[in-house]
Amino acid sequence: MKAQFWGVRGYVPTPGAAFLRYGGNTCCVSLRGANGELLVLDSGTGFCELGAALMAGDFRDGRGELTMLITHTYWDHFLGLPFPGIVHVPGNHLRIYGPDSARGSLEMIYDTMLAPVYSPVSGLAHIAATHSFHPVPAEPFQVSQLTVRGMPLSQHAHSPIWAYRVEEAGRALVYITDARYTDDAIWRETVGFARDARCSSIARPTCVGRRCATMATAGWKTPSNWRWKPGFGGCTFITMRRPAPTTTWTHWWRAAAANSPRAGSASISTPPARGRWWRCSDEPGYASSRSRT
Amino acid sequence: MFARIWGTRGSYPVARADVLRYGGNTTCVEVRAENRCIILDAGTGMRLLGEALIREPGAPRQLDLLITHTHWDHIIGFPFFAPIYSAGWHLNIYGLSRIQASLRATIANALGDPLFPVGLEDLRAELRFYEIHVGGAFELGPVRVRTAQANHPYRALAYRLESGADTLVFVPDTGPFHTVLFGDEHIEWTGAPGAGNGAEARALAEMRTRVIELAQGADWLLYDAQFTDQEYARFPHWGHSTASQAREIAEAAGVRELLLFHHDPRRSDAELDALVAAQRAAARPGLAVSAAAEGRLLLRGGPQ
Repeated sequence: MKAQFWGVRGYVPTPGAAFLRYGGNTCCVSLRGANGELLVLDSGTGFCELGAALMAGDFRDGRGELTMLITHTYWDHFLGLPFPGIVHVPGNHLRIYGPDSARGSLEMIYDTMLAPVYSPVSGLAHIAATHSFHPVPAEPFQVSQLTVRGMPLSQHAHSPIWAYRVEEAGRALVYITDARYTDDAIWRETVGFARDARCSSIARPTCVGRRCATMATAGWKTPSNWRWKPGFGGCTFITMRRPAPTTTWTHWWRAAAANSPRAGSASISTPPARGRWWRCSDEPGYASSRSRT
Repeated sequence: MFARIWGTRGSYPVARADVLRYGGNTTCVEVRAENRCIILDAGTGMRLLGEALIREPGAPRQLDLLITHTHWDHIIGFPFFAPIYSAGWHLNIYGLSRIQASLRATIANALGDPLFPVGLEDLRAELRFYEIHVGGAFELGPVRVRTAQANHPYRALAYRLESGADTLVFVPDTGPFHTVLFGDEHIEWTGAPGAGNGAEARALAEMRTRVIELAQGADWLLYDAQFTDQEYARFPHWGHSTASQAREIAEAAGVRELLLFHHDPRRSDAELDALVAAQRAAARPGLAVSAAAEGRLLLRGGPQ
């Protein structure tokens, strides 16, 4: 299993010279399984770059297939979906898993996003590639050789947020964004979602989270809510003193800029940079990816 | 009057290394005249403008936002515009009047769950929404504003801002006026020849005339140039023009400087340089051509 970061920014894309190294696109991570399965975590504007790269292969000829796991439908995780050429080529197939909101199913939300008032596409019916929308199953499910587990991070009916864990051949990648631990129960459950990996002898899960996320070490306190506005989701670095060695961080706050992590986090994090490969299949890959920063 | 360009890109923001000079933020232009601050469109460039306004001592606390249309690339900067989170700021928001949905509802529905964590009711600045009609004219302090309809899916506005001797015309999204006629919610005509197309062709010709009138004698015309001619042939239904079509409108309107605008997200700085060079070579004498670059100041007699 190989992961590549296409967008690591939270809230809003940040073009500009100060954001080149870690990247200014919003959330999108691609995963390639050993058999070539393509899994995409979220579709922020990073998906536009991924889509451009995929146009070099099967997707250009309408023979591409991908499975997308949407954590939630806020702009920075969803708004990149209709832009890449690959979704406008007939024959391509996108299987999209994500939570339904009390205000509409995932498919309805996407259709609303494409309404004439917001988009020249003028509705999902005008997207040429085949899309199928699926609620996240409660049980683990397979995408070819990859096992996918979902866990609801937030039960907020209007904007449910899910975390994902993808496993292949004893390795796991855990993707947790926009976590806000409103009570200890959710915190413990989230820790378990990632920590179980170790218990079941899956070594070194990589947690990709929003400035907080590594659940692989026990004994942490519940992180405080974010200061600017309670309810946004997201935690601070300050409470994260001892992340697991393989933790990478994404969803950088734009003010935390730029090409260097904030002082408080410099010693603990290995921020992902756009376009770099993180290998989940061998130890040297981990080592080299960590040493690059 | 002077203007600053905060966002030049069309469709979606891009954060690549090959777009640093012209910029990757989507459309936003700030116009200042006396103590009036008028913002054209709310693309991601608006975030940078907000940060600058907050830092500026004595910045005007009453702002006017003129929206051409509410496609995502023209509104996604709005909730990241810092002044809307502070009491004491007033924002007057102008946009096209539609029978399908109010301007306020369109913005409110884009914010809030399940698309965004902040709702319109959470904002602390005082917001007022004004719906305007195609062809409408009004004054914002010392600035005279005129509007015309652009040829774009679901209709869009184009704006002319005049103050003193300076004129800026903003046409970020429009298709050309010969093949496709866009209406509300659907394409009204695809340029297919046949009997009964007279009305559609006349509507397009009329729209072109009005846009040229709007741009007449402008100091700066910021005009949709998303496509090359080859790309337009493939994507006529997206409602965007080519650089040469932009130049033809600028020439017909006797514009002083044409700024190619709404750059395609895949277009690199080097490719834009080439587009500009080609249009400069073709332009009639007296017409300056450039591509809008993020951060550029538009000031007559000032730095270019």
